[in-house]
Amino acid sequence: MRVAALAAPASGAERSFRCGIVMAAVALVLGLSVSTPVPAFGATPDPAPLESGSATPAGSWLVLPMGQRSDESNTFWQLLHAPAGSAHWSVVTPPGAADNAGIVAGTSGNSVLVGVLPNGLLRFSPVSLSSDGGGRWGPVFLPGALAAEPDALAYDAAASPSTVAVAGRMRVLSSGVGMSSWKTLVTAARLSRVAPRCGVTKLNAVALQPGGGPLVAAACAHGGVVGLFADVAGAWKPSGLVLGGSLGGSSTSVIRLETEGSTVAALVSASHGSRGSLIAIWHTAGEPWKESTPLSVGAGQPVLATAVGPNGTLAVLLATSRGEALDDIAPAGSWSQLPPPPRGAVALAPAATPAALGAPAFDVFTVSGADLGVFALTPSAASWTKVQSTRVPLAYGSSS
Amino acid sequence: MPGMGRSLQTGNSLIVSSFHSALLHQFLIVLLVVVLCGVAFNVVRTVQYRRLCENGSSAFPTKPSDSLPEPTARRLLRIGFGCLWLFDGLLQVQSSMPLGLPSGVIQPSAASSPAWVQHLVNSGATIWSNHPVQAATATVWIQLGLGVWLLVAPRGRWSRLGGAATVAWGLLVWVFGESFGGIFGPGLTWLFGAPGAVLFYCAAGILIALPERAFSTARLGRTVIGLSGVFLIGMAVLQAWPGRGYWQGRGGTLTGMVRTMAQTSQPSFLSSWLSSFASFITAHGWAVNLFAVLCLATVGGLFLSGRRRLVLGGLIALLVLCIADWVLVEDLGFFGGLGTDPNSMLPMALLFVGGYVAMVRLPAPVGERAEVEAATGRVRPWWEGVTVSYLSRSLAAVAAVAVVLIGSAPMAMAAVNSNADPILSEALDGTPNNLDSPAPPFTLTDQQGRTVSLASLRGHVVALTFLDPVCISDCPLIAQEFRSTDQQLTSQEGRVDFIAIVANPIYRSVSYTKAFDRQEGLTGLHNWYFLTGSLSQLQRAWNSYGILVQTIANGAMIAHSDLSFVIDAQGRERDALIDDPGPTQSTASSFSSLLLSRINQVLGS
Repeated sequence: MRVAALAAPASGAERSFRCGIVMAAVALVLGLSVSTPVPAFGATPDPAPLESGSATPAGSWLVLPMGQRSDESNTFWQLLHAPAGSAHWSVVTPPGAADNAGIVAGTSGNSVLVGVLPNGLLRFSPVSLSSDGGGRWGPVFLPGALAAEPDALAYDAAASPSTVAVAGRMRVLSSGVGMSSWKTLVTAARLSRVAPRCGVTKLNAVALQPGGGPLVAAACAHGGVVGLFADVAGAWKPSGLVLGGSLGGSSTSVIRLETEGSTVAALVSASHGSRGSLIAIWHTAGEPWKESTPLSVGAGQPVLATAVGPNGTLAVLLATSRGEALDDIAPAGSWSQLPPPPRGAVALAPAATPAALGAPAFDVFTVSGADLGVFALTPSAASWTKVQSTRVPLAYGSSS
Repeated sequence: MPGMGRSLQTGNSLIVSSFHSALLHQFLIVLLVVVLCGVAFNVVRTVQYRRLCENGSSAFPTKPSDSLPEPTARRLLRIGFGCLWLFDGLLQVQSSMPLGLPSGVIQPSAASSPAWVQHLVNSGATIWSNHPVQAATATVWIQLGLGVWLLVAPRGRWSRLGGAATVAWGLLVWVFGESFGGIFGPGLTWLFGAPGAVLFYCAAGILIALPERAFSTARLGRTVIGLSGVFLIGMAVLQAWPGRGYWQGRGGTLTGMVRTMAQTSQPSFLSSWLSSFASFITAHGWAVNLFAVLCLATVGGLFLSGRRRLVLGGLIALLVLCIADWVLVEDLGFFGGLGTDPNSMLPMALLFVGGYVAMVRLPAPVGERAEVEAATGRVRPWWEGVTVSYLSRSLAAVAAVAVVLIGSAPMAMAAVNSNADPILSEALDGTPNNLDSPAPPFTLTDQQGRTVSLASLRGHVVALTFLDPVCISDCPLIAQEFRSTDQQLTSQEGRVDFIAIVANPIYRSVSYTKAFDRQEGLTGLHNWYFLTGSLSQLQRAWNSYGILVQTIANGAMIAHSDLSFVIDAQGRERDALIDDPGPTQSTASSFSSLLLSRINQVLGS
């Protein structure tokens, strides 16, 4: 072994070659390692929150999540009920199925039909019916998976059909009182053909009209068309309206659709570019739809919860940069802002007790783990006061 | 009970004892290989001696068959990386490797990488997870074998093949074990081992696999040092790039990394050094990063200059920096029970030193032997050239290759077997209980509305379990285990029935059992029955088989025991098996293998 002589100094061409290698390597390393943020373009209507309240003559109902809400497997959705005239809310969630992805409820009088959204490895929706305000439950079978929309189920034992459901966002199923057999009522494809101006993207909600057949709501891609459809003498017809003014070209989504007495009330989310608006619409038999002024919703202000009260009063809980905000609107009225809700408010529902004169009749709910807080407006309607605290036993870890 | 939070701990006694037992058995095979090599050594020596005697010589040749020494740089790389492979192989013997490597090393390393990397890496992790004992023992022997191979085979094709084997195994480890060294993820930094320690093993393997004449000029060394310079400058640019958190002290990327390292189980003095260094970075993060950037850029520049003294200066500075980083940032790399190698600094330093030596220390010109042979006019027969050293090294190399194969064979078998090892199921749920008592009777309704009783299945072996048709976690997995078992039965299929009894007191109608069957793809199995009945009928079945079914309020799933039974053709319970798949799918398909073995046992008895 010997020590070799050093190699000759690098030539000019070799130096250029090395320079090239250096630059290529640096470019490669930077290309691999420096990520570029992807900007978000445009805006589409946010998904409708499942947190939803509704009212029937027999009382008020609310769907809301509890537990560790950042972890779906430890989130447990609850159905709450307050009988008419009572200020007390009780948890009446149907047992027997894990509801970590959410529940939807269709209410009628003292009856409630609850469907559990598919989650984990379950691909269809267990459904239960109670006719005594959530006291006793009996399972019924729905051949499909319910859409994750607050009004994906509608039930009225006196109507025909008595049950309609949005399954898989693309078809509506219907059934009679016993729910022993189901048939496809209509599909998104069929409604697309009926209303080409709408550009149906998905089915949103169903309702049973007072004294009439089912009403189906769909999200429309363009034209400011509100996608509402009714079965008229065996043929599906557009039954909604077209938004005007600045909302003329917007895409729309019906995030609530409820029948309250003789009124059908709907809450429509419209978006055009980066702007979003909420519009309330109402309909009574034989009359055209009435449309509210739009409630402007800024970017990054998702709707947290909705409620439909007696006679079609609507209320929304919004997330804002300064916390939550609460607005409500009565038929033929205009949007009014309620006092700021308590910090951490997650849902709202029509109060089951008679409201103070002129005051909006909604309760607001807070959730911290298994602790539920119910807030009502003070008699002066200037602020919210806690009227109920309940700890709900939750089986953490039971769904993992 | 589903969802009761049980999981396989890395120190699971059944897995660890099975791992040690497998290692011992394979060690005995290795010993046998060594003995066979010893026998072969004696045979060759005897033949050689006879041939020498026949040709009038009684002395064995003492001069090496090839008088030229191995190039110094090659020897340095070969011995250095051989020792590193040996060390890595010994690290793989740690008890926590079989169960801990996928969840503690492989998956975390891929967590920040793009989805396609995670997908690729997870496919490898799944093979390991499904066959932890085979994979862990295979890794031990492959790495020990590679180490011995490199150490004992200094010259020729065997030696170069060892280099190629190093590259092949190194690439596998780099891709599946190190997720490409994290080069596709954010936060890539030289200080923490980018671009992956094993990539340096691969680079060394390539150099060892090159023909020896590649080391005869300084060109190879210059290339290695030049590429190293490019690499270091690239790493300096990355380290200096704003917005990556390395200029920050408090809350910065480097501080966080060092603090995390300090929490690893290790000697207290090292932990205290790391904590002190983390505090130092917190206070002077900007200065520490500036120092690192300047060092990397300067050394890279010196390497690129190609001048001997400058390269030497840069190399010495880099070695000091490597040692400091290895101790203070990389935490020596092999503590904590799941350390698989000493991290990147040692192999990188070894490779750079090898490159420098290849540049400055060149071997004697080749061709002396050929000249000698040309002068004498004949080619020497093998018995005149083979020395005891050459023979023993050759046989040792053969033995090393055999050791690598001892590891590779079970690894290859594990990779092609999609069914997980039954030991996983036993490790999680315990070994099956052998029973021999009459199975409690039941008469229920199947998913087609037909009445089915246990008595009506007499003559068939029955695999029985209890499932909730609206369960979101365990029951679909258990159903798939039953389906998989059924599919593996092949010729015995007609002699076995698979039965589930509804374990939900509320959602128990035939509509729900049919919906569950459709969901799980069970409708086509003619020997599958999902039975239900009235609540009292079901309760009788649950009670007689010891199944606890509990309704939990407020949105929770029904809790029920996860138990399966194997009932023989005479209606006697033969096995009770816990079939809880655990909170993760780590035991996926393991239970089906276990159930299949039990069914076959009952069928054969």
